[in-house]
Amino acid sequence: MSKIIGIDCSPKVQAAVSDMLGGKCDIQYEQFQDEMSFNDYQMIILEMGVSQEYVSQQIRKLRYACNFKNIPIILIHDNEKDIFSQPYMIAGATEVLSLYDPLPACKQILSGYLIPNREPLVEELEYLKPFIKNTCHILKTMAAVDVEFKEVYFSNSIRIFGDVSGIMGLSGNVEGTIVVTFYWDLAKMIVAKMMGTEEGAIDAELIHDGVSEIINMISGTTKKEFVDTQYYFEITLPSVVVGPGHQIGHLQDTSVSALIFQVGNQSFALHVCIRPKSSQRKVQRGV
Amino acid sequence: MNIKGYILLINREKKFLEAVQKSLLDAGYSVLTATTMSSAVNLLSNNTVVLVICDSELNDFSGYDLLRFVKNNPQLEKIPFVFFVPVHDQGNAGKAFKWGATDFIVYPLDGKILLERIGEILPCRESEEKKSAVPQEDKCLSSLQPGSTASPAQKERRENNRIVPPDTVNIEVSRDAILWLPGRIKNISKQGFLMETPLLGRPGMLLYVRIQLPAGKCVIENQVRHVSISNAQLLADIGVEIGDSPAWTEVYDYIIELIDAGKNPAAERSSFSGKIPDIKKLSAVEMRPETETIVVMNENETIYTPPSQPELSEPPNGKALEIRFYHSLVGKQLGNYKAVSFIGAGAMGGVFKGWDIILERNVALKIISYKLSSIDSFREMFVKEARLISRLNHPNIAQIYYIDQSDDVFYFAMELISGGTLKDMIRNRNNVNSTKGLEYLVTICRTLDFVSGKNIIHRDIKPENIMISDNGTLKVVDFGVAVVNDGKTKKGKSENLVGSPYYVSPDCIKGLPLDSRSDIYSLGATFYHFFAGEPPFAGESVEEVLLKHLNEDLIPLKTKNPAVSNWLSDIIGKMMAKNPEDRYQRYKDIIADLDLLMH
Repeated sequence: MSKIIGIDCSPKVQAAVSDMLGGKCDIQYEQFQDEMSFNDYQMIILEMGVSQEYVSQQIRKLRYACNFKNIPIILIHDNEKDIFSQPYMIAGATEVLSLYDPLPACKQILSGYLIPNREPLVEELEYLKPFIKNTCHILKTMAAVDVEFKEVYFSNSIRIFGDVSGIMGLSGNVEGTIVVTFYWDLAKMIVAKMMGTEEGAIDAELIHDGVSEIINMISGTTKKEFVDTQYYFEITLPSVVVGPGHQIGHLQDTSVSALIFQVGNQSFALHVCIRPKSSQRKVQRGV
Repeated sequence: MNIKGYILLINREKKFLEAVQKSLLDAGYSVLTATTMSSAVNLLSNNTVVLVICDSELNDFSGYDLLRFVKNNPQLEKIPFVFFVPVHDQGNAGKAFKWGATDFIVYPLDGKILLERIGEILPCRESEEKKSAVPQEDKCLSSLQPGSTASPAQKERRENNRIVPPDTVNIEVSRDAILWLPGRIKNISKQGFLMETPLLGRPGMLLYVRIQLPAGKCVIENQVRHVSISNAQLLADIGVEIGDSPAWTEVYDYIIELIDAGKNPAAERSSFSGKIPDIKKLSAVEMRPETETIVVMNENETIYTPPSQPELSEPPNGKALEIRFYHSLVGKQLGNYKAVSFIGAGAMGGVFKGWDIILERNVALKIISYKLSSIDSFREMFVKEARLISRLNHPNIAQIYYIDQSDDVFYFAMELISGGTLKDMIRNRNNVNSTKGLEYLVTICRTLDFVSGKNIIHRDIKPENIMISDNGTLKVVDFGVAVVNDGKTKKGKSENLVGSPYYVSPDCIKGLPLDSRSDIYSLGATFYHFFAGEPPFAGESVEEVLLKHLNEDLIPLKTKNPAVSNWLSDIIGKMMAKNPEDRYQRYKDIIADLDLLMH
């Protein structure tokens, strides 16, 4: 049974959620707190409060607490008219639904998000494994941090929720994008270790450069493993984006693999979106 | 002629080549011609070619394959490459630009425009008529420099009648129908519009645009054709192309109304200022002829609103909700199938590329929309039809593998076909007159002969439901409204109106009991469209089109396309006889006549 947590939900919203998800899910309701943990939950439902700024802040904290995991945050409101949802989506909400939206539609959307994630295809593992290995290796070598690969999931998500992302474009036998995303604290720690300095000496500019270097090294090292293979690619110059909720222009019709890594009790993500160029696409094999 | 080199013309049709070649020769150019990529490559290797003008479809490969070949070859990459593009399919020009094409020329061709465009691309020629005192050399050189040709946005403005809407028309743009960013329409045409938005896109990308209309918010799906950034500090200009879309028709008409109202505010406000007239609303939103399938389940329950009840059943954000539902499924596992990537959404549901984990093969996963799957009778009908179709084992019929419901998600897995539809072929060529078309017609006749042998009537034969895979295999798809004609149906009972307005048979419109001759009519109408480049009957509303099917004489195919033989024109005409008794009674007879035509 899927476990769902409802935060700050009024009886009206609780009733609506019960109607939609009913006896299929174990739903617990709590009040919002700053330090919340969602390790066991498959979905977070938050009722929209009065203040947009406060709700956005709540969402940001909830998204941070998710640690890059694929936990949908569903914001529910009681307005009959459409609301301006951009601040909430950028803060980290997955969906914004109204109690006035058609019940079957809302039910379908929530049910869709609760369906279990799929496992990688064999072909996907072929190109993901080198990225996983090299990410762990690079950070161990350059920053002396122990990195553990935790999980992978696939999504259509084009929004990244971290504080800073390094982006690399790929072209060659395959085309696509690789994005490494950190929250600020972890980025600062890793960059400080890379530079052999105290964290207090690290400013935004250094983090910017450090993240750029990290994605450059991950891409460059992994690229060598694909020479003379169907996944061979050349890399662009890295870009860095700072600020949560930035949208990445991943390829259309191509799934994005989100690899979650853990450093101590913090996480970062590597998003890999790769597609063979049209003349070289092969039939996928699978597990 | 001062140009040291040839213009290489490549097209499948020899007559077309000869006509264009003649006009270029008359203008003083040296011209080579080819019908296939292999002969084009040969000519490129052995001659100095200064310009390639190519069609998108060749006899052996596509024009895009040749484009990529040329642009990947260091010795050829600098040769300007121009595409012939039908007037209805300038969207493909965006794809060609991405791969290095220089320009596109719309046909039907205007000879004068062709020569002008060639003159812009190639070095100036010194003819007695055109000598000038000013040395032309610098200008000629600049005409060969990269970037000296007009940008896609400029070409688009040249080719279409573009209208600038009032500043009050604001839009929102989204990649996923969840997060909307602001945008502003800079100009529009019937094919699409140019907008300014902070949301960046790349050519070919799918975008959703939301516009506020008097009746509510309207969401339109469109494809990015070109992106131009004139100044990094400013917002990007994104040009988008919209396919056949009733919603876009409504938006376009609304904007025209706003412009007219702005020009003449004293004039009586039209219907768009308030309630939209029922007929226009119906025809724009629900039943625009060329795209919508009318499906009436029974007298009491309908999927799409029939003309007698012109109320909109779709909530204003219904389409956005559908899209968001499909997006929630990417990366999920439905039973034994992995939803790998989202391909697109149609009237019935969303289509995903999927993977069968048991049989280890690619599949197409069709997820039924929440509206349809919440109707009990639809689900029952659907399962019944799926069982029926799964028993049709034929190389030209897309197979259904499995049907299931997983966590309230109703879906089926079917054969994944990579390729295009007959509709795409029609769009790529205004009218197609080729042996290939006849072969397709024979193949579909054989396929439907097999289907009718099982007492099944498809009831929705149309160009969109005939797919041609990448390896050239033809597949009939979408038996969603097929029925078994087993003689158990009570004769005289009105059958419901199903099918697509452009291709539906008169017997179906009249509610008569149907048999395979109804499919024969629809097939005739489909190939009429294929060979003529336009449907047999057209109109502003569904009702108008249906009435024409019933009452208006068919204009012979030969009249619409003189290149078609009388024999073929007669075959199509007979397939489309109003009275089923006057049509071909069996597919075998059509095949026999077509065989005579082909041999």
